[in-house]
Amino acid sequence: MKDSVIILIVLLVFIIGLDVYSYYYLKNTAADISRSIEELPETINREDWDKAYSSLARTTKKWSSVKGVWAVLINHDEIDNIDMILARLKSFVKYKDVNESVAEYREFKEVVEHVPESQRFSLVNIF
Amino acid sequence: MLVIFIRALILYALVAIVMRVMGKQQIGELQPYELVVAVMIADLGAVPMQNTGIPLLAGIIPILTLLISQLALSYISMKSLKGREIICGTPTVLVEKGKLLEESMRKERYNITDLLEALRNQGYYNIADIEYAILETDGALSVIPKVEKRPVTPEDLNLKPEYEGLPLPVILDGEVNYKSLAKLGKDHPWLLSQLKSYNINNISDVLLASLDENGNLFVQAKEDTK
Repeated sequence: MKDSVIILIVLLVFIIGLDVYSYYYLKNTAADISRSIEELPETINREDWDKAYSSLARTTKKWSSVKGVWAVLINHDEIDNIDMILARLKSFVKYKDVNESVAEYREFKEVVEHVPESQRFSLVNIF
Repeated sequence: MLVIFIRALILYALVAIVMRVMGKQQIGELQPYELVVAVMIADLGAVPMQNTGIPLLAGIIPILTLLISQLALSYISMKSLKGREIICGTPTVLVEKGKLLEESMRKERYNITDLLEALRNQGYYNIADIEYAILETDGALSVIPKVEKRPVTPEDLNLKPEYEGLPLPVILDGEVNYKSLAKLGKDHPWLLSQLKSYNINNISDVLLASLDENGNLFVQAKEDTK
């Protein structure tokens, strides 16, 4: 009886701890990625394509470094989706398409920032 | 993580409540329509439990729908004889007057090995001892042995055993069940005086005490108080 209470408490603490840690990890890394790409629309509007491409490379690098941990915490469909948007964005910047690049940038930012929100402990997410 | 945890808790509570409302039948021998419900509920609960992309209601509504249908079907099968026949089926006689009914066995796709196995499970090792075997609607086999092979009853021996009644637990884990005590016409002081003869002074030291209608008390003390 005493053993099962201890196991119960340990498991509860583990789950709550993991939840809090994973939420803050996702929130911080998502904010990081989102910040690293923030200047992209401005450079695209100025048609400074080299700078846009290099800032995109920075974001890709950052994304690759956190992707492994994200894969443990969230649905893999979301990771594939982010990969896909990033590939499209790169291609639009490479071929210097202003409209499509800016639209794809908005989508990328939206999707990345939505991930920690979807993992947050809230009534909306439970039901 | 916590979201999945809470979702799992909610669905677990819901399925536990639904199973409880559906009645004791669900846990023991199932009728065909009840088995279907039990299998489906298990699956309906499991999917939204781990997939947070599915709204919880998408799991809750079908579970409640199954509960409603199951209650309706059991109501029909309770009220109407014809309905019961359609929903639950009818028992099939497999052995009649000591003879295997091949046609019934074929109809139920029940082979001889199944029959022998079910008979052995009930303690009949020789098919020659069987007068009737009936396959019930829940799949259980009821067996009536030949008169000369059935167990002896006190009536056969012209014995008149004393009335035993139903023994009721009066103390469970150190707590008095006053309901059972009152039912048997005894009270708390009587119980205490009886416990004294077992060298027990405190009710909380008793693991189990049960009393039958003839006033016989069975008492077992908790181990650590001995």
